[in-house]
Amino acid sequence: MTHRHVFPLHMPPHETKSRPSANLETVLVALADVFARMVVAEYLRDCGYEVVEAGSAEDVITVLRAGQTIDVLLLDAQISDGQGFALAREIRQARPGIDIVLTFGIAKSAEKAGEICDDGPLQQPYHPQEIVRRIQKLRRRRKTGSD
Amino acid sequence: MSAQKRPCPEPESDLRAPTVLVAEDEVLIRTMLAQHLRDAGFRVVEAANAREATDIMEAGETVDVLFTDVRMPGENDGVWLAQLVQQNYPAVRIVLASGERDVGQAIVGAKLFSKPYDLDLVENHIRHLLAAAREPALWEESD
Repeated sequence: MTHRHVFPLHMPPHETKSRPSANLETVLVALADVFARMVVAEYLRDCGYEVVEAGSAEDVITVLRAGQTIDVLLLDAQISDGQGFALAREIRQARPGIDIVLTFGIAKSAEKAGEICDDGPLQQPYHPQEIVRRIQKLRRRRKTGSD
Repeated sequence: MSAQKRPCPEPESDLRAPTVLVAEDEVLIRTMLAQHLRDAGFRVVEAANAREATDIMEAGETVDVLFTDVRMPGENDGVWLAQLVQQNYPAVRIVLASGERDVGQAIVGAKLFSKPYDLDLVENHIRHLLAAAREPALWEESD
């Protein structure tokens, strides 16, 4: 079966931009849920990664086509009405240098973020209420300097 | 896989960095501004539309400054968001951005940055807003 490109990723980027900080690896966190995206992104930044946030497949394409250096893509399979699988397939072809971590929902996103960061997995189970609690925990940690 | 596990650094200070909520639907502009503000020492929370921004506010996230694009897709735009925040979270300082120049007076007292805006000017304005917020009003001064 001939695979038909759905996303315009085969187009070369306009120019390759240098990464914001040369020594940091960059993770593109592509999660539709704003709370999951925010918590996972902040968690990975605390681990020392550069993080770019995307809330849709369109955002992912825009970032990649702009030439932003991305090392890892944490991609929700359900993003943009389930386009995650097709998007991941095309990125693997067009940008083989990007490691793709495909996730299935909030819980898996947290688990995968924990695998990238040595701080360990985010607390499981990881329901939306847990994300809010995690936000509050992060806020407390920033205010008090304790975990 | 090129990404290796990294140790998470312990927080260096017990002082909370001021938080800026950046509501901007254009991912490249949002990323650029957010990164600039993070490099400047701010904590930045990103929202891709007014709905995400209100969800973040209603979840109890501490926000000191809302920077919002005026025109965003979805049911509500940045002016609606700014008015909502002004009404429900009066301590939050508001900054607007737009590709058009005729919306500057939409929110009384909120500065409008026309796109493309200078990131340093935005940063300086946010610093100015936060510094002004820390200064007591004249009627609050004691002798």
